[in-house]
Amino acid sequence: MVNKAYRSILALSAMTASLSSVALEAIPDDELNHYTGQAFITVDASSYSDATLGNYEFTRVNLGLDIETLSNADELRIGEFDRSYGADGTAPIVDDNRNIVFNADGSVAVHDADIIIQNFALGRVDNYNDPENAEIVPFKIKDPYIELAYKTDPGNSSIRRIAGVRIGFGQAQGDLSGDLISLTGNLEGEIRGPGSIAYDAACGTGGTATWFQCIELSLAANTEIYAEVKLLDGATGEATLDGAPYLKRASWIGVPTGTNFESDDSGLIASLIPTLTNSEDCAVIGVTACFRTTIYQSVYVGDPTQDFENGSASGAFISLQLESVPWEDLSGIAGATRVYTEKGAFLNIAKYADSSGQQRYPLYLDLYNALTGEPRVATCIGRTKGC
Amino acid sequence: MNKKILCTFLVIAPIFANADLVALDDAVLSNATGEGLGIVLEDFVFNVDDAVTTVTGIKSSSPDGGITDGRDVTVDWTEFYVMGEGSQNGTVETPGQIGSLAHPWVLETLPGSAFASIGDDIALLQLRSGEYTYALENTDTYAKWARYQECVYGQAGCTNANDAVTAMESIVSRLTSEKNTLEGFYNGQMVSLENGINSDIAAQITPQQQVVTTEQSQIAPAYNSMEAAWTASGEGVVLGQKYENCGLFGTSECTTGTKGTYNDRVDDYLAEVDDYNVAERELARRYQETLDSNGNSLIKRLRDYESYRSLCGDVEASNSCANGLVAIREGDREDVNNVAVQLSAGYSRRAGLDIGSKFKFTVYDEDKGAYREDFMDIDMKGVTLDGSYMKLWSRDNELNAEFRLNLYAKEVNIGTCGSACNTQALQDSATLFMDNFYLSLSLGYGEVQPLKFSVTADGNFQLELSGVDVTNYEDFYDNAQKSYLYVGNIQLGNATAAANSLGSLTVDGLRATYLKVTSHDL
Repeated sequence: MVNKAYRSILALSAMTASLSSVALEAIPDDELNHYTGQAFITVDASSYSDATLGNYEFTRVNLGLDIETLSNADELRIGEFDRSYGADGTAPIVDDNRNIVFNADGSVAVHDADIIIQNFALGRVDNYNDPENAEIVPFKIKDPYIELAYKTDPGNSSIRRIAGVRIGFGQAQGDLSGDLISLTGNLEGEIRGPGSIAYDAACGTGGTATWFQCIELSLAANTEIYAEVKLLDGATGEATLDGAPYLKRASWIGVPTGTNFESDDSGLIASLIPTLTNSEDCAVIGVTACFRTTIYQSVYVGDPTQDFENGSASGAFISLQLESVPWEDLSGIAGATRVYTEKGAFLNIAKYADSSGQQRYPLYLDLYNALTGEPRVATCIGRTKGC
Repeated sequence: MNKKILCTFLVIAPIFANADLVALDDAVLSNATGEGLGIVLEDFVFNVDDAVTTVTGIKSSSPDGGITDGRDVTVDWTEFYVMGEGSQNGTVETPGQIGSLAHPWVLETLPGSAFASIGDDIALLQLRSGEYTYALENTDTYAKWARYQECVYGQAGCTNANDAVTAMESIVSRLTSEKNTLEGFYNGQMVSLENGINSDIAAQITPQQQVVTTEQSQIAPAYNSMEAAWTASGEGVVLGQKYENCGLFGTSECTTGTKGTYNDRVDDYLAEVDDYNVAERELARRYQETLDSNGNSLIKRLRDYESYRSLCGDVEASNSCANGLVAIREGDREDVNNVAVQLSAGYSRRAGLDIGSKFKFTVYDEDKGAYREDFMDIDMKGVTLDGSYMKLWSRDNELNAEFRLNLYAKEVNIGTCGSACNTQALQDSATLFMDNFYLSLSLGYGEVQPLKFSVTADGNFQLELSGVDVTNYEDFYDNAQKSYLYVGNIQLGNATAAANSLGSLTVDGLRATYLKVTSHDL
């Protein structure tokens, strides 16, 4: 026993010696004198008064970090509490034919949590099925931050409570993947393509456009058309429900009812595009305009054609609010001041201003891709997901 | 200042020997089987209830782009206690236990051969907390049960330990149903499904993906050329917009000179973007229109296949479904059931620790133009840490590590009001309550993916997890620990009002195949 204990101490001693051989050397005082602190943490405080919501104080801890990662998670589930259909804009679960699904007790089924993402991943693996040549392409994050929001008492600003917390990224670029089961917040994109695709879909086999619309669309075949897409209520194609500022627990995305495609082209035909392409009940002149979020397995945050300096997105965050919180809008878009959030979880992957000040979207869809979905990029070596 | 440390410190295993310490060579060291140093702190109270530690040197962001250093931020650490469970936020000095004679914390040296993921030619130093195999006492197992139980056992309305088992059964049933549906759709021929997808990807997708990649790579140079020409032209329009109506003499200036060159580069850039879009569109078409003999598109088969891999792990002729989510949740069900059985039999879990701290932050409010004070009062109740460890070893003169922290707390409460909330009701109304908090953070997996911490030449730190490649990825995916974060219920103010509840939060099975974090000055 003694012998074993003695050996143990010797081993510990030897281990310590081994570890210390990693060549740590003391810095002499005269050299140390030239070092300045590496200020990778800053703390910013701010306040905001909203005429309706009241007074808020914010404290943001900024972390000077460059992060590269390829990470997978089985599931993210945030804000799992009771909501009922319609309350605060809670969207219903609908089937593939956009019919509302009911629970056994007759109530409208809604998702269990504000945000449910299964097989979540950041980053991708190129050549995943050829492990010899598999290449990790990491998701990049610069300057993440953690921010607390406090609601102050109207009568005494010293009395305050935590109203929300958010984790955000100064800049981010890369592939974000997952089965987007339930989303609450902003997932904005732009759908774009030539008018010919709209013509094919609306006037080809099974198309529902009128002959007159088909003639006009055929003339607009070479015109580039685009529209903004948002999270939708799959049953109605609306971006809101019962007047709520945004949907909770949405699982569809598309061109909201009442909006239309635009065109930058000039000329008579192009000018007809907005009139011809008004979205109604998840359709634009017969072209399907609503899609399940789960068919978009991967979203590229930022601009894939640019480097991180020029192609990273700003303003992305995920937050949790105990009550309404007007977070500062850090998208860089001129005139954008606050992102208004309500009780629950909130995922903000919204439009932003790029390094040139131009407005960009985190999600770009081609009219053709929108119908077929976006395949998942591989996020594991040897398999696409589930690692 | 009132500092109290009351403990009985027991050191088991080694007896301090009066002998010179002689280093062992690596060959001998690799065979060492030291039992290590056991550490047990019984009847432990640590309380620093009115000392103040002040941290300075932190700044706010410089709002003027770095011309000034920003405003000073001061952090005052005004309280820190570690006591036994039931201390009422550190106000009642309740003795606590860190480890026990049967389950001590251990500092030990071990040969690498003790771990499959570490070479047997080296030795390592490990500090680990106590380990419990009994399901009720094992923090990881108990936290898993608590996650599905969705309440703090023993509190009002939380007395049926089998609620977690019922919830678990429901999840396993749903996952099994999804698996059976997929197998039924493809007549159980999942290997054929995999082969067909691989064949179609090789023939249809990979070549077109290369076209997309090529087209994509041509966009950035075109953009840079356009941007350079835009600068040379005097930046008279928004980047990407062409010059029109140039000068008094019509459009000639838009076709010649720097403006004309810029307009040409805009056309070039748009052409590259168009080529890229066409290539992407063709790729999408192939996903949609490449069908199997039953008319199923490649995109559908791919989604179904990926779902199946997620549910079952490997695809095998026997459809054993042995390594995916179904098997994981079935294993969880067994763990959850073991805890439920022990609780239902009347056994109770050991008491944990209460840990708390108070902080005061003096920060400059840019909008108000004045300093203000932020308070944070953190109290964790019933904390247990068993199953945590840190391994350290040296390889090629680099310090490598593997780390796991299992931290479970029955409650984590965060108050933010400070002395202004001078009644219990006011304090409660401003406090964030979190029940069943569990963080299991795993970093590194032996020498397959060691955790490396270093300092760059310019004085910034760097943390890295890398090393997963063709030689070891299956070992990594099969055996490396994942991380978990679970909070059973998040609630503001009155701890029982349902209207204030934000419900649960789950980050399940997070694992970094690659991670590199480098700090920099802000």
